[in-house]
This record gives sequence, structure tokens and C-alpha cells, in this order.
Amino acid sequence: MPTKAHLDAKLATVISKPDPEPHIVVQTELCLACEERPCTIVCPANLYWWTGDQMVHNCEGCLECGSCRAVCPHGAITWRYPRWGYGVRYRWG
Amino acid sequence: MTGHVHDCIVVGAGPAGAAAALQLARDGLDVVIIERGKRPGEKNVMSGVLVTRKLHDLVPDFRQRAPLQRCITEEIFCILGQNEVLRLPSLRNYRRLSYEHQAFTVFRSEFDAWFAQEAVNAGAELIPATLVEDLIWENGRVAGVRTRRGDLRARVVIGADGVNSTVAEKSGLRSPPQPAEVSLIVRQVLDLPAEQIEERFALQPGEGVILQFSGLVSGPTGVTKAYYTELYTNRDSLSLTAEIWLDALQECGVPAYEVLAARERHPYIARLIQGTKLREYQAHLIPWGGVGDLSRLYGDGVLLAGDAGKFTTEEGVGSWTAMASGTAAARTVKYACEKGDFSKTTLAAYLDFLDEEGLIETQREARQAWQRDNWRWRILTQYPDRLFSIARRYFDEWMVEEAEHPYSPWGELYHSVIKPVAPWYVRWPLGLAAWIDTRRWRRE
Repeated sequence: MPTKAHLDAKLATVISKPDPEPHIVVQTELCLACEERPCTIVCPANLYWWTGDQMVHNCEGCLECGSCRAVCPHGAITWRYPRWGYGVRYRWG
Repeated sequence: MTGHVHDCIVVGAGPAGAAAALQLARDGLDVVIIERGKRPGEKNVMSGVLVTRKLHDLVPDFRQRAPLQRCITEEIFCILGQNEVLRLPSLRNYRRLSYEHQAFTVFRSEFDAWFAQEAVNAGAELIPATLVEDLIWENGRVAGVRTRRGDLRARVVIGADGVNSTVAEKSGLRSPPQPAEVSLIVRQVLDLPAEQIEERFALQPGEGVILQFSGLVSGPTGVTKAYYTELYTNRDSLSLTAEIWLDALQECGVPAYEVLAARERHPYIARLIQGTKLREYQAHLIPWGGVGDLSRLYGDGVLLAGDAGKFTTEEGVGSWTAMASGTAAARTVKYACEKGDFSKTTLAAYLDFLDEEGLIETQREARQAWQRDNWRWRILTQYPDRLFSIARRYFDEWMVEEAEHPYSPWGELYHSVIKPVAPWYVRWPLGLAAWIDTRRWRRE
């Protein structure tokens, strides 16, 4: 299924300016004990992925929905809004 | 910033915040709106339609001035199967074009900016591109907000900062949203020339339709869940959304972006959106089920409005409720200013003002609908197969080889749809009717 490539094309339509002070901080040691890893499923921008032995995440391209924070069963994700002027800017929200 | 104490700080310039600021400014109070976007609306995603019920009271001539897309004349509800779609009867009502309370498709980036400007024109001060990071506490009550650009003090803070509300969490009124109480909306805005939209959906300029699709998703975990897809007509674009509860998404294990992508590939939706070009991809959370404990809507020196106070109806509509709760919050602040007291006891008047707006009722209804394990979702998961098998017999009978059917069509409708949910006093007479009908049908 070519959806991952499609997703990249979709994400390319979003204007966003990453906050130099990362707005998502993950305590990855807690992810080692996590079995479900729901963040890898729910993130609509696919910013979380499991490499097989560790959790990797990316703050760039975040759509600021907050799903990852809501689903994290171990409270490992510290998520806040990007500071003033940073983050996503929807032109057609 | 200075040591000046404002009457009120409104956090968030969405529909709730702007309505609150507009009302406060009109009442002559000193009000500041803090917005994290550079322009109001640029952090927001419209996942439904704007119901103008409250906007009509606040800005009576909004039709001439607000940036609206299309007025909704019909909502079409469809059930999606693998390769079929069952369109339920719906009403296209052209009188809606002249109703007092209408529904419009809008872009929040345009609409919120306009609505916040209305508040500014009325005398409110807007501070954009500023993130509220914390609250200032004084003698056990909220006395202002902290931002990277300095502190700002006020007698009351209205938290209208959306579903992931900083004010609600920092004031201890609400905890972060749980997966079972929010749904995730993934949305795509698709370019299509206005003439083509009008041709495709049989519309005139300014008229619009909504198509709602319920369908199923089953993932690698083997769990099947129901979710909604909606298609809205804007002036020269369509928006396609997929809405799924976070806990459902988690259980079925299908990535969020795939849930929407699967709908784009559905034969019916693919035909409706063919020839479009993607303009923007978006995501947002919608709160469901109300706050439950209504005393969680206010605290010492703080009020919650809009999505921050989970003001959505049982259908998940949040536009008019946001504006109405913002107005109620503004009236509470005015009342507290007149009284000169900003404690929780005085701000409890918020509940009376909410009641006048009809929002206590919507909070209760939303809670009840959410608590009763949502039979709507059960129906959507269990019934499509049965409905399709009935529909095929009616609409497709000359194409399909007739299988052995134990019941007459009415009997089948009774056994598959009515019997599992109806109480005994409905079941009994309809069951008898179905039995008689089936006997007659077998004899034929």
C-alpha cells in the first residue's frame, strides 16, 4: 500500500516552523516497557516510530492535535504547544 | 508588560474567546485576548459546520460581513460497505437559505480572524503570537497569566484555549483529555473549481451540502470499529474528514492517516472527489461527553468556555456552543465586576448564565449520550451487513441470485434491526406484524 509515500506528499502541504526548543519531549526509557505503543498508531503525521529496539520521534511537522499525549499509557510524552510564532500555520483550517 | 490589572484576560481567540471578548468589550470592560497563533484561526481546524444560532444574536448582519463559504441545504447520510453505499433518505430544503439560523461551511483561518476583529473593533485588545504557559496565583486564586513576553494580570481569566487547554489543566479544573473522551479528526482540503462543485452536487452558487458516511475499519488486531467520514462543500474546495475515537483507533491498530486514505480510495468517495488537488492536510481533536461535574467549569478567578469546557453537543457540534459559552462567561465576569468579588462562589453564577443559553442541557445530554456506551456506535458496527443484505434484495434483486431467506423483507428488518434494541412493548406488536407478514410471504 503506497500510503506512507502519500502521507509525505500530504504533509508537504502543511506550513510549519519548528520550535527550536522541542515542544515534544519523550522519556524513551519508559517506551521500552510499553507494549502497545499507541503513539505510533494515532499520530496523524506519523511522527513516532519504533525501530525495533527504541522509540524515535520527530517534532517537525507536528499538526498540534495532542493525540499522542492523550494515548500515552505511561505518561512518557511531555507535549506542549510550540511557543509564539512557531509550529503549524493552517491556511485553510 | 505593566502592573496594570485588566478586568479580564481571555486565553484563545477562537469562537468562544472572541465571543466572550466581544461581549465584555461591548459592556465596557477592559479585556485582553491572548492568541498563540500569529493570526486568530491559524491554529484551528473546522471539522463541521458553523451553526449560526448564537452568531446571529452577537452580530446580526454577519451574512454581509463574515467570510462564509456555502450555506448548507442538505445533509446526506450514507452507510459505506466494501463496494457499495446505502444513501438514506434526506431532505434538501431550499428554505434553509433564508432561515434565521443556518449552517455554513467556513474556514477557521478566515472566520476566526474576522470574528476576533469584531471584538477588537468593539474595544478589546488582541495580543497575537503569544503562548500562555502558566497561570499566576495570588492568595489561592488565579490572578493572571504567564507568557514568554511577560506576565499579564487580570481579575478573571477565561480559558477558551481549546481541547488541550493550558488554563484548564494549570488551574486544576480538568486533567488532560483521555482517549475515550476525544475523537481525532483528520481532514483534507481539496481544490475543485466552484462550477464543478455546483455541477457535481447540483448546487447554485452559495449553496452547499454535507455528506456523512459511516463505515467500518478493521485492523491488524482483528478489532472492527465504526467511524465517520464527512465531505463538505466549500466555495471552491471540498473538505474530506475522517473522525474516529482515539480509543477505537488504538484498539483497531490502523494508523490515523490510513483511516482517511482508505476512504479516499472507496469507489463512491473517489468519484465524488475525483479531479481534486490536495490543498492542505490537517488534524484536530474534538472533546465529547461534557465535563460531567459542572463545578469544574469555574474556579477562583477562572472560567472555562468552548472546547476547554467541553461544550459540544451530543452530536459533537461545537460552534454555537462555543460562542454561547463565551457569552455566558462574559456575562458572569460582568456580574462579578459589579459585585467586586471574583471567588468561586460568585463565579458560580456562570451556571445560571449557561442555563439561560441552554448549555446546561447540552452538557447533560452530551454526558448521557457518551455514558450509555453509545448505542449509535454499536448500531453502526453491527448493522451495516444486515442493512446491506436487505437493501440488496430491494434494489438489486434482478442482479443477484436469490438466496434462501427465512423471513419476508419486513420480517428481516424486524429480526435484524428492531428486535435487538427495541423494548418489549415495541417488540411485541412489531414482532406479531413481522410474523404475519412472513407467513403471508411464504405462502406467495
